[in-house]
This record gives sequence, structure tokens and C-alpha cells, in this order.
Amino acid sequence: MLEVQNLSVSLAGRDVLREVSLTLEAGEVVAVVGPNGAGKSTLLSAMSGSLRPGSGRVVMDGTDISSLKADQLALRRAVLEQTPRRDIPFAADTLINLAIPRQINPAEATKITEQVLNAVGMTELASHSVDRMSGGEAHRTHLARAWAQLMSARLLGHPGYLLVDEPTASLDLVHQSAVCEIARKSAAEGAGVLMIVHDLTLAAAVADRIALLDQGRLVAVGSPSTVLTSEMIARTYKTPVLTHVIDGQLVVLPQHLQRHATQRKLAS
Amino acid sequence: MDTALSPTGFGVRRPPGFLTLMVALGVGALALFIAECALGPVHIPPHRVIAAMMGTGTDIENAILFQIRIPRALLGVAVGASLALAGAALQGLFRNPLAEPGLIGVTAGASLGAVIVIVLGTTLAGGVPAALRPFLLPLAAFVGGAAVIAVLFALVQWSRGPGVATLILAGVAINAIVAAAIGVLIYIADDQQLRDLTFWTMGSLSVADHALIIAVLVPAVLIIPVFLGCARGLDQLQLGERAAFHTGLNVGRARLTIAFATAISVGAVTSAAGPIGFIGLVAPHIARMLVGPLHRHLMPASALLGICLVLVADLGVRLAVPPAEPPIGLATSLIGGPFFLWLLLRQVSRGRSLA
Repeated sequence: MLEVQNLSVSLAGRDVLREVSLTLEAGEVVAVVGPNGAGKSTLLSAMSGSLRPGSGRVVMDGTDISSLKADQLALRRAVLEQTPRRDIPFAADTLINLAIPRQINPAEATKITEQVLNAVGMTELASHSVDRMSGGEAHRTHLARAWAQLMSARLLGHPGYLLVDEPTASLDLVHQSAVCEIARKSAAEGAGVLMIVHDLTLAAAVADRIALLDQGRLVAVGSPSTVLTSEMIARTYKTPVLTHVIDGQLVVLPQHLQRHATQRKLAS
Repeated sequence: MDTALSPTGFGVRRPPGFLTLMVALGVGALALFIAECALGPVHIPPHRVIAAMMGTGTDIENAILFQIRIPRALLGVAVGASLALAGAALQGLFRNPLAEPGLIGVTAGASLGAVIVIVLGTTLAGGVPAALRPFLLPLAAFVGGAAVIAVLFALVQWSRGPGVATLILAGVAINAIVAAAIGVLIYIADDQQLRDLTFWTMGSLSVADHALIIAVLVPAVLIIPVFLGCARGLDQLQLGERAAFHTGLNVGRARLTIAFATAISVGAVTSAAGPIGFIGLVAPHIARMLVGPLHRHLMPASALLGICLVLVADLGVRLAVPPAEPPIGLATSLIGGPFFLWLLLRQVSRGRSLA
């Protein structure tokens, strides 16, 4: 279990997170949503150990993560940054291998690399240099890198946590669903997955629970249908939205977009 | 090579022919080492060089080899390996293909430390035990080099990851400041110190002081495993600071280790041989073309290439206009300057911003 306890963070004199408490259980997918500037990425940084909170703490499987060193953290959680670097001179499979800890033997590492490359549809570009890839290809490579690290953590006997910052922004539809599948699959195997997602419909589709952040506070946390109500979203995002349930799936659409669609329908 | 996968499958591949290349470079370095010992005003055939090293040389051979040529060749090896490794490490550390100890001012910092000791040394050395005096020069150079790296780091942190050009421009400024400081020291130096300095500032492997050569060889050799141990960390740093941390690198400690190793190696060889430019640029770049960007391959290849380059340059200056011996720094700059320009143009033509 990855536990955030009363976490507060100030950056440059501004309170970015205020007393946030949240748990990420092994085996579940939690989507963090909220307007820009709500503190989502800061929360993820604190949970990944790269940012020391002003007060409060983050506890991973019973250990305060501030007492874990970088290499120990890397054996327990994997992170996909919001904008991973593209100007990396290594081939995709080499990059992925750099994230696999040395405790994993080379044969296992090769197997993991092959598997993750396949899962993100990058097998054919395995030996291509990342700095010559398109944005989407590079992002998929980094996703594979984070996933390979998570699989290593699980091989080494840890539940493993995958923290992903807005994974779908630079990906097309097919690969967006691939990301979500990776998240679901990892959770099914027992890992805890936390994703920052902007697309509320996607968040509802992929997550077991939704954590809604607004101005540094955790406003609501719970199942998609309890958190992503039109009232709650309208209040947080300050724009009216419509929610529909289509075939059991929650769909969220800003009201004015719906209006355009209706007008088009009437015009035709 | 781009699309073909090696039989070992997905992962870190050893570049094709890596071992062959390393053996070839090693043999080349050894051959150049023997040539460095054999050639000169008094020609000693290679088999006699080897015989003398085995302990069966004549008195004259022994005198020439052990007093002059072998120390010189050893210093050349230390200079080549150290500067090449330092260059590769700085390029990786700053994620900057143009980072080179000389260009970004690290060598200048080391030089200033050394010049201070040369000019003010007798005054300063009063309190230092005689046995430690040979180490005073390398130590001062280390401190100077380390100080410059610290300044550059502060700059990089402050400007939040500058473009390629920022570091080079900072180097221009540091080089100018150091040149002024050295100018002041030259102004107050006496005649003998002036002669020492003039030759030293152009870079030369002809160092008569054997205690100094040992004081330089020891740290230069001991720091090599530290560099090689940084290889994975340097690779991870290429992913950016955040991702490097996320994949398990203690970024602060890795940087400190790399900076320390760089300051030690540049300081050591600069204190003895003077500022020798561009080896740290040329060797890693050729190595990168030959073995690719992974530091576990790049570092050893760079070191061997650096040794070959320095020995070739030294043979060149020694044999060009005998018995005169132009400083080796002139030769390396003659090769390295145009190489640097070519890299700069390539950087621009690939559409990469320098700012």
C-alpha cells in the first residue's frame, strides 16, 4: 500500500498541496483528476520520492519513503514523467534496459524488454534511436521503460507501484487504450497504479477509484460514478458538464460542446 | 545495424566488433608507446626498447629510456586517458556534446592552481613537508579544476538546464578571467619562473621532475575505475535528471562523483603537462562514432583513443623539426580546433538550437 498522509507542499511561497491524504492499494488503479494547477503533478512527485513534502509523509509498504534511497525506491515503484526527454541517443531497447535494476539477470531483462516493447507496439522500432522518433513513439518507449521497471519490482517480490503523469496526452486512440490496458493488467497482477488523467471519460473507464483535486485539496475520492457527477465536476472545473452513461460507461462532456453537437444535428 | 537485432535479442547490445576494436586500439597504443620510446635524436630500435624494459639494456639505453623517454611516454598515456575520460564524463554530465575540460574552463581552473604554485610555490611550500611537495602542484590544480566545475554547476542549476552554448560561453568567461589572473602572476614572476611558465602554459610532456610524474600518475590511474564505475549513472543521466532518479540513480551523488573524478584527472595531468586542449573533445567523439553512446563502451574506447591521440601528437611535435620541440598543446589545438568547428556546424545544420 502506498499511503499519502496529511501531505502539504509549498513551492515558491504558494501552497500547492494542502493536507492531502490518499491511499493507493496494491491491485487497484486510481486516476487523479482536477483542473490545471490543482497540484496533481506535485502529488505524483511527492509519491515518487522526488519531492520532499513540507509536512506529512508518504509511506510505501510500511516504510516512510524519505528513508529510502534512490535505488531502493526504484525497486519498488516506477514513474513515467509528464514530458520525458526525447533527445536521448539510445535505442529503445537500450533505454528500457537502463530502467531494469541490476538485480534482474540479463536473460530476464531481455524477456521483460521484449514483452514491454510488444505491449506498446514498438517491437519493430526496438533498435531505433529515441532521438529520431516521433513524439508518440518516444512516449511509448518511455511508457515501456516505466512498465519494465514495474515488472522488475514485481519479480523482486515487491507489489510495485506505477505512477504515471498524464500518459495519454501525446498518444493516439489505439495507444491510449494500450496504456489503459497496461494499467489494468498491472493492477490485475497486483501492482498499484496511479495515473494523472485529464480526460474524465478515460479516467472513468480505466480507474477503480477517482481522486479529484482542486487548488491543492483532495475534494473527493471514490468510485467514478460517485466522484464524477456533473455537479462535482461543474463546481471544480467551473464549467457546466453533462454526464451520460453509455453501455455502463460514464461519458463526460462540457455542456457547450454538447450544444454544438445538437446545433449541428438540427442544421443538417 | 540500425534495424537488425543481435542474436542476444532486446537489450543492451555490445556494438559489433567492439572487442576487436578495443584490442586494436590497445595494440595501437602499445605500438605508439614503444615508438615514443624508440624515436628521437638517439634512435633505439624497438627490440632494444623492450630489452631495456626487461632489464638488459646498455647504460646509455637505460639512461635515455628511464630518465627521459619512458617517463615522458607514461605521462603521455596519463594525459591521453585522463583528458579523454574527463571529456566523455563532462559531455555526459552536462548532456552537452561540446563540453570539454579546456573549452568550459576546467583546464583553466587547474592551470591557475598550478601557476599559483609555480610562482608562489616557494613561499607557500614553506609549511609543507618535503615528501609532500611533489603533490602540491597536482593538488592545487585539482582544487582549481574542482572550483570551476562547482561554478559551472551553480550556473546550470541557476539557469535550469541551459542550452549547449551557455556552458561554452561560461567557459569563455572563465578562460578570460583565468588568463587575466595568470597574467598577473606572470607579471610578478621572476626570470626562471617565467621560463617554466611559458613552456608550461603551452602544454608539454617533457617533464624532468620524476617525483612530479609519479605524483600525477598515481591519481590519474587510480581514478580510472571511478570513471568506469560512473558509466551506468552517466547513461541514466541522459534520460534527464528526473528520469535518472526515477530509475534509481542518486543524482546528487553521481554528479559529485563525476565532478570529483574529472577534477582529479584534469588537475593531475594539467599540473604536469600544462593545458593540453581538445583531447577531451576529439577522443570521445571519435569513440562515439565507433562504439555508440553507451558509456560502458564509450569510456574505455575514449581512453584508448585519447592515449593514441596524445602519443601521435607528441611524436609529431618531436619529429617535425628536430632538435626543436614545439609544445604538444599546439599540435592538439591544430587538430582539435577545426574538429570543434566541424562539430559546431554539424550541431547547427542538424537544426539543433545552441541557445
